[in-house]
Amino acid sequence: MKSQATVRIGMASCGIASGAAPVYEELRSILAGESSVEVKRVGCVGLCFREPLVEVDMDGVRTIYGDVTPEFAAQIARSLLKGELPESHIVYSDKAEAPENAVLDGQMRVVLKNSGIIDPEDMGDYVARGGYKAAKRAISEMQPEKIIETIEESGLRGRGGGGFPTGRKWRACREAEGDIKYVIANGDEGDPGAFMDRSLMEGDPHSVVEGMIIGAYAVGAGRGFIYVRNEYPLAVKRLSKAIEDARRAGFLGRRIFGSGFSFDIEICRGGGAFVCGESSALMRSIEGLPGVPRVKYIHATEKGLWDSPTVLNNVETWANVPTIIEKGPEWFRSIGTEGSPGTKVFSLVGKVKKSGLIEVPMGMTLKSVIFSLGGGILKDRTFKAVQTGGPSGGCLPASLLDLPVDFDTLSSAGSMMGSGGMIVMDERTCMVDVARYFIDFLSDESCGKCVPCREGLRAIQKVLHDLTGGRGRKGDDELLKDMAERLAETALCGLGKTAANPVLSTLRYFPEEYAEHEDGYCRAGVCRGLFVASIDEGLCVGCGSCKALCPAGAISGRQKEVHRIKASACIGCGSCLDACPVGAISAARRDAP
Amino acid sequence: MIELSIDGKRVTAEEDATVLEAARAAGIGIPTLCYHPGLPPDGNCRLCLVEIERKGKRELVISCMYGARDGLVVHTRSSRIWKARSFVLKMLLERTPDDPLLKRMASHYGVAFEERFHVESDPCIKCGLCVRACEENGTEAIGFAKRGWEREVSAPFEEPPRDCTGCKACAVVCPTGCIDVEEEGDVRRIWGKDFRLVRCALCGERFATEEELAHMGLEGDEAKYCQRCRKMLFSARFLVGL
Amino acid sequence: MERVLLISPEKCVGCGACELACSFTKEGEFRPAMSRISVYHFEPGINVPMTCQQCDEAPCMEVCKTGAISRDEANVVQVDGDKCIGCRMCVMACPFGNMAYSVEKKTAIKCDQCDGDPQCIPFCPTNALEYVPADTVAVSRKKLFSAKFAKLVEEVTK
Repeated sequence: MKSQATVRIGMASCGIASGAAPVYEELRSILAGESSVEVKRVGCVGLCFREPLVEVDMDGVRTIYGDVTPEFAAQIARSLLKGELPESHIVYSDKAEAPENAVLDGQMRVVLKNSGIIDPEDMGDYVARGGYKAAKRAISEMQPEKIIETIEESGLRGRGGGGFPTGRKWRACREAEGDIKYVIANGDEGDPGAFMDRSLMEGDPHSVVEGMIIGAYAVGAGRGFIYVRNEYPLAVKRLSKAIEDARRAGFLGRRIFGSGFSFDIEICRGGGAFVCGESSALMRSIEGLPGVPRVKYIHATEKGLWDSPTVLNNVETWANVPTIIEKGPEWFRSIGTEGSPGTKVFSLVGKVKKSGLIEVPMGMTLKSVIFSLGGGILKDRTFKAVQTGGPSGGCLPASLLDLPVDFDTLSSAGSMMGSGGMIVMDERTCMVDVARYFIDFLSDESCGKCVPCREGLRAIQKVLHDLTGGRGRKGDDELLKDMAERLAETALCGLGKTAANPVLSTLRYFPEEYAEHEDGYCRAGVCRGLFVASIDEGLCVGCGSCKALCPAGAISGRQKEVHRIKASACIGCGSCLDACPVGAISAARRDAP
Repeated sequence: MIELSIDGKRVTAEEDATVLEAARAAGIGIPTLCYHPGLPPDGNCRLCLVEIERKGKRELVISCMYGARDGLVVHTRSSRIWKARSFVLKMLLERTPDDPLLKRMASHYGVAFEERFHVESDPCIKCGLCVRACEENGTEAIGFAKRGWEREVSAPFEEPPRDCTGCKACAVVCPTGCIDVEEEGDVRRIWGKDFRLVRCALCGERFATEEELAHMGLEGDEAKYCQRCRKMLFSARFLVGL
Repeated sequence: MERVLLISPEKCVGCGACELACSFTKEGEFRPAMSRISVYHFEPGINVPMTCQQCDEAPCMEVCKTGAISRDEANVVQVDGDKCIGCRMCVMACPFGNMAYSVEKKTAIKCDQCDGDPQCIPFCPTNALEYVPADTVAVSRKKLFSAKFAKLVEEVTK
């Protein structure tokens, strides 16, 4: 008998961007009409660094092929027709050794359990894997009070960054006075380098919808909104399809599951600003007003959207809910740490070998995440820092690599969990320049409502530009610290209050780099003109790569002989530092003229 | 009535009072720039920061929006508050160095202008009082445009605002006096829009714009005569009626 | 006890002392133009003092959007200058012209009956202005006065 096989092509935005569409076309055209093989478009598998990915599930055994070209896709298809599997390009295998086995096996997929497995546009796939069972059970068998208790007991905390206990939020909303209540999913992921929410919405949209149904029933909301970044058209499309399908099946709309409970969800496309992810700004944006935060001494659970009690949770928080209802709070508590139960999805990017989407139990150390799952630093350079929590987060140094990743540990270290962005930096990263980059970003994205964020960020930005531009002054580190602390204390919204974090955390862990910039030296060789390239003659192999790239013609040397740099001619651009294959070039102090 | 402590002083206040209102009623001064007692608070200038005691800790809150509660302990003077206000004033002064009010406040807090942070001068401090005044009047002719550093008060599409009645309330509430109102002959110009002034049928004083009268739905005497002449007219009519 | 400010034009000799007293009390200078009470001379011997009538349904209060105009316990319509945003809608709305606007003070101004002790009263030599308890006689005279006003308003607005 011929084997039954399912072929899955990762077609979230990451896959499509790496060329998964022609791969899918190739497989589909060859395998069309083949009853023993099913070809599916699925969400993000997570091994983004090897996209396009094709997974073949043959008799329950998974084999994932990476870097698949349309030609190789054709080869996979032809092999399958013969009941065989190609042996090259394998990145993961259930049965055999494969290069990326550790990346997937080292994870724990709760939120992403369906991502990369099911066709996100086929509700049947979701239901076949137990989807909507939790919602049905919750609505037909559980009292709202019991659901809130379950979520409270599970210890689930908000995955959007704040880490506020979800159960407590729901209870406050349930107990708040008002006939009209709302639930909102925040999918306005705006952090540079973050794609957790995007992958989730693109890969398993129904899990968000199902979580919201349960939450709405628990707090007594009749209407829900999913606020999705407008730059995520595929997420919008797949969520829209999911909502439509759920409505058609009677999971949304009037009298859900034949109960007396009615609830429906609308998609609201983002207002195109980073600040729209801030809760009060997000609600104003849904109301049709400009996305500008409001002072909130009254919680949204009392006065939120249109001044009605509102629960706003991140999409990842919502996606956790069905599983907690299904498997119980004890199960959830058994994962992660005591203070931060469950798992967390991260987008691991930057100077790491295996960048991608990962989900790990809370409490895993930064080292395990970066070195075991991420495979270490690109070009085997030295790790310098990891930035967590997006622009409002902080940079943690190598000495803190053993820190467990959870809400409280990261906050006390001066960073934060944030929504789960993790940017790895190596020795070629200048920490002052990193702070400058994030402050540039935040200053651009500030709504400008309050003085500290509008004017204060600009002043901080000025000092950082001075430092990275060689105009730094003695005492700028102290000045920056003072301004950043004042900004954190005086800004109006969460965004402004945390906007100082990139500065404060780099000052805390990399004070020497600030001091060096005050003197006009950038050790990382990033800030233009703040160093001269210098060749370690013992390491130079004479390949000439540096010489070929040097725009100033400052490097001389014959092939296979040691090269030399004329310091007075070096403009400090850093091209040669990147070009040297053996790491023989470093950034040295520029001698005083 | 509720009772709270501000700087160690027992203060009574209305149930719905804010900390700022309670403090000011008790004669305790707190500086503000974006606050106006007649308009909804917005909390953007951050100057009215005070400390409250909560769970054994001192927390900075803005007094113009933080509700006074029975038993609340408030401090309006501390080095932390001083530093916070100085920072805010310094940042404002860098952008608006020539405004007398700001200069006065800044010098009170020992804050000086520093060339290093100065990028460009702008007399507007974006407190939004003008926008809120316009909203309150039911005209909503102006609003904020752009974001961040470039945030500015503007009429829609930077065109003469269709809904503006030329009432000048925006200019009255502006703390830096940066909204220009020009009057020449029968024309008042504000926000780039020209308004025809209505002359009093008796004394000829220009007492309102056509748009103001239309916005208020005034016809009769109110639309014809200035306030003084109306007063006189009614005196006269009163005599006739006697 | 509630008191009312009674105006008896027939007793007025048009000396203008009330205007001086008012402007001095309110503005610190003798400037009848800034007085909340005005005396109009129509013919020799025919004078009418005019000031706010504290209307039961005060149009000035109705148009004020910021809550700057309210009625106090003594039934007097008061302007809270701090809350005034200078839109001048009240000035335009008062049919009797009894609300004015002070550019210097940036607020609408009107007769506030000086916190229950109107300063114009002691300076009126003929008792054309009286501040009397709102007993039946006074109230009925005041009502008569108001009724005439109301009739006038009606005629004008017709």
